[in-house]
Amino acid sequence: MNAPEPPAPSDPSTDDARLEKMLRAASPPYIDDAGFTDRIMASLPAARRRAEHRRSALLLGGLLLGCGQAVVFGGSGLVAFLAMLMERLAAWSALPVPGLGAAFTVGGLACWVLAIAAGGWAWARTR
Amino acid sequence: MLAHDDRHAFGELVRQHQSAVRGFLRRLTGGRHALADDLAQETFLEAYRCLARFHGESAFGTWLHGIAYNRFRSTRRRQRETVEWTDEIEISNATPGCETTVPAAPATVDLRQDLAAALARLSADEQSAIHLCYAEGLTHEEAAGVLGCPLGTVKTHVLRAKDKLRGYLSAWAPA
Repeated sequence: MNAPEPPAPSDPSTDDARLEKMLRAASPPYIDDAGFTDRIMASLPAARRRAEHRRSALLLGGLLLGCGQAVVFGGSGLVAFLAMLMERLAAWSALPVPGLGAAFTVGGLACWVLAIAAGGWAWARTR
Repeated sequence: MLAHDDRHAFGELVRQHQSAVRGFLRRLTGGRHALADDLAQETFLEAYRCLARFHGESAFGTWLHGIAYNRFRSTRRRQRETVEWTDEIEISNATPGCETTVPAAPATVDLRQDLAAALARLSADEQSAIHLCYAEGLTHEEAAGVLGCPLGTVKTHVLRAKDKLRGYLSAWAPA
């Protein structure tokens, strides 16, 4: 029967390597999310949302203000200018499409409505 | 990725890093899970507020660990008068993330518990340095960035911690 071997004298470099190996192996296991992320997302500060809300409100306000200014200061001159512009555009068109001026006007108005709706949507989304 | 305040992307980042950050804080708080999770929550909220300050000089996870460590330090400073932070850690709680269900051999369990207990006896700075350099695999330079201290200080913490651990674990002999 063999006698047990006496413990080898402690080698500092081996000890160090063993300790480092143990420390690496001791990395914490994966912690299950268990709703943690949802709690974080629910408590995100409103600061960014407020800033985004302010931006959207400024954009929408600027758009409406610009429209208002154009109507107030442009007056009938603006309307006449737009009508003239539409006529020119209709005349310039090589295609003899009837009512092209009206189509341009309707298209322009649709663009404004869409822009205002988009601004309103962005504003509402950030509330 | 987050330039346009993409909350969904931030949620993904939280999901991706929550385990590491919570594990780090659980270790620092000596296994106080509730406190660690509160600190982790504050960490992510601060990260969200300060996203503009993250320019990608380090990995996002490293940056998060830095915030977490600062949160831990300021909380410890605030609570030091009312809460004793040292030498009251239960060994069973000293290993963060008790959710693990991987069975281990008795000797491994013993060693893990002894190591956890030994780690818990280190100072917070030493624990942080050891955790970051070994468990998280950061370089000394990255760990210095997280801990906000000079490189030499991190190396000293690591060396000192290892010396202490060798002493604490010298009695351990596998069966």
